[in-house]
Amino acid sequence: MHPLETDKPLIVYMDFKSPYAYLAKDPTWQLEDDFGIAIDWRPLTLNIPSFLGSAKVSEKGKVVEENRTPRQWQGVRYAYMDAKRYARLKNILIYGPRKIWDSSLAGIGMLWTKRSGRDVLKRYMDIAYERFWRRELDIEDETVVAGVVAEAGGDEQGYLAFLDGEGRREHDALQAQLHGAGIFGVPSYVIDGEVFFGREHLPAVRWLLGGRQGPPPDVAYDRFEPPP
Amino acid sequence: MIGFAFDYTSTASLLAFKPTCALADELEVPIEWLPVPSNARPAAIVTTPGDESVSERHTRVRAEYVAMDVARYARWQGIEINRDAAGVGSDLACAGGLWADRHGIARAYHERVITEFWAGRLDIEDREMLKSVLDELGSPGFDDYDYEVPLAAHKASVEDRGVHTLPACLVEEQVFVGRAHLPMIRWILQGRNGPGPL
Repeated sequence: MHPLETDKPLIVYMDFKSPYAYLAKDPTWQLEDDFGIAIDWRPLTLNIPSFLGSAKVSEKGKVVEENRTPRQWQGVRYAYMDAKRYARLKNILIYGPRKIWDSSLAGIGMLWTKRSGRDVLKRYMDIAYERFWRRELDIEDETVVAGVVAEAGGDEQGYLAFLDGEGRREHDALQAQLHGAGIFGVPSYVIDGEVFFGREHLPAVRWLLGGRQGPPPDVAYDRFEPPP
Repeated sequence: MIGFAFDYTSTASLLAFKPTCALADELEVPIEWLPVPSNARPAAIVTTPGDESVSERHTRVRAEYVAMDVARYARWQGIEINRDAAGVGSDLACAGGLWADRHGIARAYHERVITEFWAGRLDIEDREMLKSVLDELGSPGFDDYDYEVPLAAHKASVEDRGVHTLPACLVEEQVFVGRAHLPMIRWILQGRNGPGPL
């Protein structure tokens, strides 16, 4: 799987442990309906300590372990404050995670449910994002993730076998290529080989999918009306 | 009121300048001008693939993406970016901004300085050049302005309001980093009517 190539009009990279990816999920699915396209959804498992340091907090929210600079803390605190204020507008609950999760099992679940079609993948993503951010889903437990696959209408046992073999290999091989392709964060959109990082680029993605009608739009976190 | 914290040496500030002014004009709200000097950015440390840690590689890939993204939107919007800002300090330009604000010409000064700097036509570390801009816009006397203490106090006061990354808008005590938040700012300033932005 080449990071920038697909037979679909759009590739979207997502990670379940990113609140910004969570906020982007629904307006990105909306692209499929608005433009009559299928999206090639792919996992990007962020290595957060490599760029934001790491930390663990207790159940009471007290930092019990950390390896972050003051600048990294400012960035993390702003990011959660910002994500939460947009989430509130959509009645989405975002509780700050108490540790940095390995989201690769959930990402491999994306690759697996994708094979069962759009509806299974969408249900899987909806369930996993909502429960994870309510702190109700242990995405490091393969049986828990398999349960979500089943609930979404996918093949639970198939997922577990996929996870132990082809799925893990496919996931890891993709992750190893991403930096080389200029992809480093989520959500990332790839259209005609061009990378856009962040949901603020949805206006540009929509402009490109719509055939570049009118002047190019600027970045914006905004709502979108379906094209005429 | 929209507080607009920015730095002349930031391309993100350059791209945010006109849309922020346009929103303020549309809503007929004043802008509180908050030019903030960042520390002069050193030239990028060049790492080569295969010779870097995951962290270094992430930093390099992200920096390359940001440069590409800025160039993309500048090209789409017809904004000139003809130079790099590595090693350029903006203390003098920000002091000029405070001076311009005293004389009611802040917006014209900021727009001229940030646009001309990035077009490669203005040296913002040259006090004489900044004085010429201020003189031309009707704000004489900059050469006698002892700016170190007021500029340091101004910078500290902006940081005390929670601004750590530029550009940022301050609206109703909330900080919004980056121009992508302008729809949210419009929604807030129009009374939070209807569904908010996504």
